[in-house]
Formats: sequence, structure tokens, C-alpha cells
Amino acid sequence: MNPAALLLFVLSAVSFGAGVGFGITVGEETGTAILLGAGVVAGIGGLAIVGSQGRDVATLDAAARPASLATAAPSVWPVAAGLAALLTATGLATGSGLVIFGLAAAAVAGAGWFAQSWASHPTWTDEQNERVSSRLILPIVLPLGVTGLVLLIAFAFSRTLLAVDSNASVLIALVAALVILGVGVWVALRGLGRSAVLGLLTAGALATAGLGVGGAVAGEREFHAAGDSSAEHAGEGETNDGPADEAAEEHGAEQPEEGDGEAASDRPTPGAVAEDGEPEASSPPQVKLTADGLAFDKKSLSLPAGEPTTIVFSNEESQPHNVAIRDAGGSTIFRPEGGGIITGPGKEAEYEVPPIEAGKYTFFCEVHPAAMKGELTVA
Amino acid sequence: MSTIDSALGDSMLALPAGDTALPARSLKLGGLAAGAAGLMLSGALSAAYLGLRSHAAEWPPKGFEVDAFLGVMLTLTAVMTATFAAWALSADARGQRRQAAAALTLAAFVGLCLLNGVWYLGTRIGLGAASSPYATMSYALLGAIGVLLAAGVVGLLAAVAKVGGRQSGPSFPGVVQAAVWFWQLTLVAWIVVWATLFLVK
Amino acid sequence: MADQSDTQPSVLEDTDHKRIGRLYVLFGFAFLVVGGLAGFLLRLGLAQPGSSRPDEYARSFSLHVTVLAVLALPAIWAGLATYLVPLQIGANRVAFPRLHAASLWVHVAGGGLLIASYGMEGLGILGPSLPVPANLTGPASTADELWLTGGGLVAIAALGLAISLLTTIVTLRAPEVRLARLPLFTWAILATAAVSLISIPVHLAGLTILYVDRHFGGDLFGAAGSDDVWRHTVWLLGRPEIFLLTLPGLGVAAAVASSHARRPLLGEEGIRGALAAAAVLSLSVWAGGSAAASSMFAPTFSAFAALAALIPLTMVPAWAGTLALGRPRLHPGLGFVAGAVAIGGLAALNVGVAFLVDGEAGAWSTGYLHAGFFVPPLLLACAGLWHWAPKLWGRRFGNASGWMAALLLTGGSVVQSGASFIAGYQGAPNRTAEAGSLVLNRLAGLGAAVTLLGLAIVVVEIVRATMSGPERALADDPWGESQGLEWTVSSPPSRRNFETVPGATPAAPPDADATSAATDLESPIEQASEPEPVGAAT
Repeated sequence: MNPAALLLFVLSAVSFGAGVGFGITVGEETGTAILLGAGVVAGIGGLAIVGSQGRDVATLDAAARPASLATAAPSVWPVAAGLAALLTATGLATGSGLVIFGLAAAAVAGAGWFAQSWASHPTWTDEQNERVSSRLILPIVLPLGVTGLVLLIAFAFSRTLLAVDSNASVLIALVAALVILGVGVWVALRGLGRSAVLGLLTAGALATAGLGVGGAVAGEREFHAAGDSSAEHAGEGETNDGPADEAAEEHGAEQPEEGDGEAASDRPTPGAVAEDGEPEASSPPQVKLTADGLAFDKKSLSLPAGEPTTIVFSNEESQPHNVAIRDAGGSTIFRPEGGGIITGPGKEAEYEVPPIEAGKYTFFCEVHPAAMKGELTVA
Repeated sequence: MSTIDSALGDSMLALPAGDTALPARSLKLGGLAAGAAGLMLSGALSAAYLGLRSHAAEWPPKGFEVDAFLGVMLTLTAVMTATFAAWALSADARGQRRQAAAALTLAAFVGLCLLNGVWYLGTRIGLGAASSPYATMSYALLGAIGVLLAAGVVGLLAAVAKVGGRQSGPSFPGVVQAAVWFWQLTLVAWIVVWATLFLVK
Repeated sequence: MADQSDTQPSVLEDTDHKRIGRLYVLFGFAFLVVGGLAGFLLRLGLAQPGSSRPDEYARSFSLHVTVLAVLALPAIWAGLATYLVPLQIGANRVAFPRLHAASLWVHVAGGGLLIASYGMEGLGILGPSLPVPANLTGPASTADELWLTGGGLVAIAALGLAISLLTTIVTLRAPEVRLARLPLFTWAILATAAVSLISIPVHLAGLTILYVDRHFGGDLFGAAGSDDVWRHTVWLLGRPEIFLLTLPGLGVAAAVASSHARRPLLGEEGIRGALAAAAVLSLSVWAGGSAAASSMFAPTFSAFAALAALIPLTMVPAWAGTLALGRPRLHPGLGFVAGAVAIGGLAALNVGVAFLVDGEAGAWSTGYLHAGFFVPPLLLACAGLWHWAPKLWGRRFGNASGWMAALLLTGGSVVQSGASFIAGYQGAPNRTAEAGSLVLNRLAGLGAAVTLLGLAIVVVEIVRATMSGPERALADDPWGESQGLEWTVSSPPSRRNFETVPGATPAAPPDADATSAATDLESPIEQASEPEPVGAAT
């Protein structure tokens, strides 16, 4: 039995024991399942390893000794994988087509990684390398790769242009064209070498990709057909101040300064999530609500339908609380601006609730939604 | 190393003289560890499912039926591909290139069938992902196992290439071992997901 | 052996574990600066009531915790481990160099996305600092989803790193480096990597559930039982990671103590077992039930987890005893270790007081977490940097700057945590900008400023070393009489680390005089270039 397998078996036994004991005494399912699961995993690992070091390390021949392992060859594929991960993650977050590009980039990185590991195998000779390179890589992979790269750059650039308003996008396109022309002239006049040109191209591609990511995150500007009424936005569209600006600053492109690059949300809003205060009537009706001991003091509230109201909320304990409202389907229709969470004791907040249609709702604390809720009747 | 040298004459090798490739046991342990991580991911998702289920009044939501037949079929498919993968491992260790390549290809193909089945299951749930915790957890479980299966199939295909290109065998069993062990543990993860979604419900 | 060219590959292409290790440390400290500044801004907000809005405060709070605990500290440990583990086990590379490099870049990418999400409007997820989920109903903003996918990338990177380190340690050891005789830092890394392999997927599971729920606008976190899901998978204090942050540091302390006491660690076998036990027990933090959710003592609210927290205390006598029984010399690393012991002791002391006093509120928790779980690993990481700088950068860090940084970091943290403890006894809550006595908040702010000053010194040393390059003719073992294979090669090591397979590791002799055991190496190169015992460290 080798020490690694022994360690894993001990770990497995401890985990099992802990899981069983915990399950019996505390009885919490999630914890028990996790402990038992860890035991299974460790046990499997131990079983897998237990036979593999029967040939003791010391009897390995010199060729297999660790210090004679081929040292790590330089490789650009880890960075490519990182870039692919960045694109995929951003695409998943913004719901844009960036995911496709991220996955395509991951496929490219994986292929390159595999090809490099293939070429560094002990049985791979230089001649074979030369043959594959001239018959496969250059004629097929290179043209495909360049096409893909061009498409990617075009897509990224399109995201940038779509994120800003139409005048700014024309300006950006003109500036980009002039920059490319200017750099090309400069390179020709200075007679720069291959590596310098490659470096410039890479920098330009990365800059465009970066701006594209920023544009994708910021979201497209609104395209109004004539006579469209504007849909309500969930508030996540006003993000032009964020990464798009940062990326733009770094690379010297025009900034969407007009501020009207509103982004359309591509997710349906289940209900009005009112962030702005409604114009106040002379004194909107008020209800009082207090929180203490992880509970509200009222189990039911009622509000008049169709007019703005105010909830005067006071928190008497040192736990963070707020008040939000959700409808019968479970979608939140009101939450205070910026969360509105207050921690007491002795703290008060006034939440301005916009007009709600008549019906049955639930008011709840967003920090403790399971423990603190009650019925809200709007009539 | 010297036997390989003489076999290929004096052609230049990819590695400098005296350098060796990564030992097979490293690749095998890497595959095992990755598979164990995937198993743990599925286990944790299942535990969350069970935890939410224990607190829920109605689980699954009223009127929802679980397709037990499809689940069993997929599990049988998983057993099939596991058998092929085990066969591939032993064939590769004994230097039987063609058998190993065939077994790996079959394992990958049947694995694709399994992945297709998981996708089909996902499209047939019929509940919106946001409609209930049950739906959310079901999608999370299927999505996670789908990603793991896809990664496993890619690994098996890479192993096919290595075997076909004579870069695997008794002297370099690492890649096949890593791919197969990751695959087997991913299939154990499928069993966990199946048990959670179809046996416990 | 003319295979390796002498020109270094570019930073984006290099997969040498030494380069990756240094990059991890650099990025880790970059994240540390970001998170530290966020924390300082929080303290400023507390010191000037009314200067920050509640939602801004909550966001800065979340940024502070997330960046430091998820991005910075793990990266620093990753860097030290990546650099040192192959050297300590006699290998010339990690098992999967490209996977390791990819982990670095994916970590940076994920970190960038995480930080970007805090800069965007509409971030509702207040992150791993909350024991109960908040703002998780209704549709998610882009910022929320970026937070989740960025966090997912960071978790995947950590998983890749754990797999690579685990495989390296288990399979690439030189023939006579036995698992049971591993150097204690590598042993701690092995334990950390093994537990990470189990705990990171659980965190990923939580992120996956959150992503599916948030992306489709569901209400999973309004359902009964969802609190448990959050608590065990996302809440920082409900995951084993909270202990894993300190575990490598315990290995560092053992290495620093034994090296600068010039004797093997007292009770080495016991320490080995204790490290393994602490790692395993860290898994028990998942055993916490719902009643403990608002416990002040989180994450030590279960008996097992309390044991895990007590284990570091048992190591302190070992370190002290080693120094007492050896021939100690002054080294800033010891200063950092002493500081870690001091601040950890402050935490332990206050746990005792809290049992007696009763009624401590939220701010106490801030002090406890800083003093017990977040500052000790930082101090121990700095100890490791000062000790192993000759290897990482081929330079020694300044002696005076080291002691000064140790003093400032420890002193500032003691003041800050102490003020938080006292504020807690007085009933001040945490997580809001309007909290408690102004005097105490200003005092804590002062402590934070002093801590930042100490951090600045560390950052300056690292930047200086990175930009200046190696010292000329630095000895293999500048401190003298250090044990470990990393001290048998040049400072910094050549690209191949070891020219020939190293022989026996220095056995642990029963008495302190047997330093000759450290030279019991078969390799002719070591014997030819054996350094004269360098007397005292400068």
C-alpha cells in the first residue's frame, strides 16, 4: 500500500464516519450528503492509486526520473484558453453571441494545445513535423484560421459600433479607418520588420476585441421603429458608463458622451421594477411596518390600489432588513431603490411605492425572504 | 529511450537527448482528479436538490411526471459506454492498437448518444427554468452533467487520435488512461444525477 | 544538454513554473491592493458618518471581501506553491505546465470580470460575505451575471491549479523524497490541494444554481431550504476555503521557524498530522445547521470546525520550541510569524471573552474574522516572501523593511481588530455605514491606515525585486544551514532547476547538531559547489 492511497483511504474513512455521525446526530441532509460524497470520492481515488505504485519509485530507470523530464516548452495556448474563457464568460453574462465566439476560441485553443502536445511526443520526428506542417497546417488550417480571425474582429467591432449612438458609431468607424491607414503608411515608410508588424496587428486585434467585449457588455442601443412605444427597462441597460467607457479610454476611441446610448434589455421584465420615485402627491397614504426578532410586526397589510403610497419601515434589531413586494407568481414588483437595506436598532426608512393594481401580493424582507413575509392586499 | 532511438535511426526526435515525457501515472492521476471534481460537482448539485426537496410542499410541481423509461435507457447507455472504455484501457495496455482505437471510438460514439439523450431530456422537461425550484435544479443538474459528458467525449476523441497516431501504447499509456478514468468517473456522476432526478425524484 | 535556449520566452508564452509562480504573486498583490483600498474606503466611510450611501457601502463591503478572499490571498499562495513545490520535491517542472499557466490567466480573466461587475450599475448579489442570500428575486442584471461567471472562472482556475499541484506532488517526486518526509510547506500545499479538489466543486455547484436561477429570473432563493444552499456553497464562512486560506501559511511558519532556528522542527511528525487533520476538519464547516447562521462565532460554530481552528494554536509551541532549542537568528520572516501568532492570539482571547461577556454584536464579528482568518495568512505569506525571495527573485528583501512591514501590518491589524472587538461589545452592528462609536471607528480607521502602510512596504519590495533582477553572486543558501532541496540550487534556480536527480532529502536528525545531514547529497554538482556556511543572515 503506498502512502498516497493510504492517505486517501483514511480521508475517505474519516469523511464517511463524519457523514454518518453527522447525519444521525444533526440530520441535516445537505451536510450529510456532502460529507458522504467526499468519502466516496476519496475512496475512489484511493482505489485508483493503490495499485499504481507497487513498482516502487526507486526502481524506476534513470530515464523516468523527474529531473530528466522535458522542461515546459513555451506555449501560447494557455493564454488563448484564458482569452476564450473570458469571451465565454462575458457572453454567458450578457446573453450575447459572444458565447459562440468564446466556444470557437476555446476549440481553437484546444486544437492548438493538442497539436503542440502531439508534436512534443518522444516519437514525433522533425520530418513528420515538416510534412504535416506543409501539407495540413499551411494549406488548410491557416486560411481557415485567418478567416475566423477576420470574422471575430468584424464581430467585435460591430459590437462596439452598436453600443454607441449612431453618430458616434460613424465617427468611430471613420477614425478606425484613418488609424489603420495611418499606421499602414507609417509601417511602410519606416520599413518595420516582421515581428514589429505582427506585434502591431496583435495589439490592434486585442484592442478591437477588448472594445468589442465592452460593447457587448454594454448592450446594443435602442433601435426605434417609427411609432414604437418604448418598453420599460429593467435598469441594467444604463451601463454605458462602465466597461465600455473604460475600454474606450484605454484605446483612445471616442466615448459615447451623449449619454443616450440606452441599451435594450433582452430579458423580459416580469413586472415594473420601479427604481425612480413617483411624483409625490401632497401626502401619499402611509403604512407602518416594524421589524424585530427576524419578523415583521404585522402579518398582513393593505394598500389602496392605483395610487402611490409610502411604507414607513423601522428596524428595531441589529440585523439588516428591508421591505419588498412580490406578486402571486413570485416575481418581485417592488423593491426599494438601491436595496434600501437598513440595520437597526432604531433605524427608519421610508419606501415610496408606486401605484399597484388591485390584487393579492406578498410583502417580504429580501435578506430573510423565507422568515419574514406577510400578505398584502391592494384594493 | 535508447530503444526508440535505434528504432527511428538517427532522425531528430522531438525531445532533446536524455529528456523523457511525462510519466503515465501523472496523466492518469490528473484524469482521476478531474473526474473526481466532476463527480463532486454533481454530488453537490444533487445534495442541493435533495435539500430543497425536503423543505418543499410539492416536489415535483403538481401535474409533472418524470419519464422513468428515458432515464433507465440513458443509464443503460452509460453502462455500455463504460464497458467500451474499460475494454479500450486494457487493449491499450496490451499494445493492441486497433482494438483500443475501436473501443475508444465506440465509447465516444455511445457517449455522444448519451449526451444527446441528456439534451433531449432537457428539452422535454416542459417547465420554465424559473417556474419553480424543481425546474431550476433539474436544469442545473442536467446542464452540469452535459458539460462534463461533452468534455469526456472530447477527451475520448483525443485519445483515439493518440492511439491512431501511434502515440499511445504500453510505453505511453497516459493519455488513454486519463481519458478513460475521467470518463468513468463522469459516468458515475451521471448515475448520481439519474438517481437524484429519477429514483428519488 | 544544449536543449534550452538561454533567451526567456515572452511572459505570455512562458510555461516555466517559476515564471508562473512569480506572476501569480504579482497578480495576487495587485488584487490585494484593490481589495485593501476598498476596505480602507469602508473604514473612511465609518469614520465620517453620512459620507456614503448604504447601497454603496454594501457594495464596497462585498468588493472588499470578494477581492481579498477569493482573488488575492489564493493567488499569493498559488504563486508560492507553484514556485516552490517542484523545487522542494526535486522535480524540474510541474506535472501540467500549460494547465498551470492557463489557470493563471483564467484566474486573472475571472478576477477582471468580478471587479468589473462591481463597477457596473445594478449589482444585486452582495456576495460571499452574507450568510443569507439577498436581492435574489426577480430578473438579474448584467452585473449579477458577470459576477457569477467571473466567479465561475476563478473557481475553475483554482480547480486546475489544485489538480496540477496534487499530481505534481504525488507523481513527480525525486526517488527518495517520500510522501511522509515531504517538506512541511509542500505537505501543507498537498493537504490544501486535496481538500480544494473536494470543496471547489461544491462552490461551483452553488454558482451554477445561482446562474440558472438568476439568468431566468427564478425564485429559488425565496423557497424554503434555499438558505442552506447559499450558506454551504457561496457564503465564504460556510466553506472549507476559510480554513484553507491559512493552511499553507502554517507550512510556511514551520519552514521559517526551522530554517532560522537552524534545527529541524520540533515535533515534526505531529505537525504533519496536525496539518492533515486541520485540512480534513475544514470540511466539517459544511456541517453547520441553520441555527448557527447568525452566530457570531461563524465559521467555528460547529464542534469540528472549532477543532480545525484550534489546531493552529497547537503549532505555536512547536515553532517557539524549535526557536528556543535551536540557534536562532533574527530574520524578518520570524517577525511576520510572530505577528501572525499575536493577532491570532488576540482572536482566541476575544473568543474567550465573548463566552463570558455575552451580547456582542456585528462589529465583533468583523474583528474576529480579520484577526483570526484574514490577517494571519497575509502575514504568513509575507514571511514566506521574505524567506524565499532569494529563490523567487534572486534578491534578498530588505531586513529593516521586513521588520517594519511586520510591525506595521501586525500593529495596524491589532488596533483595527481591537477597535472592532470593543465596538462589538458595545453593541455596534456591522455591514452598515452608520455603526457604533465614532471614536472607535476612527481608531479602527487609523489601524487600517497603518496596515495599508505596511502593505505598501511589501508591495514596494516586490516591485523593486521584479524590476531590478537578481543580485549578483547570491549564494545558493544565503541564510545558511537551511534545509530543503530548494536551497541546494542557485538563487534563482536555472531553468531546469536540477541538473541531475537530487539524492536523499535531508533526514530529520534527532538532535540539532547534525547539520551535516543537510549536505548528505549524492549529486556531484552539489558537492563541487557546496557553499561555505554563510554565517548570519544580513
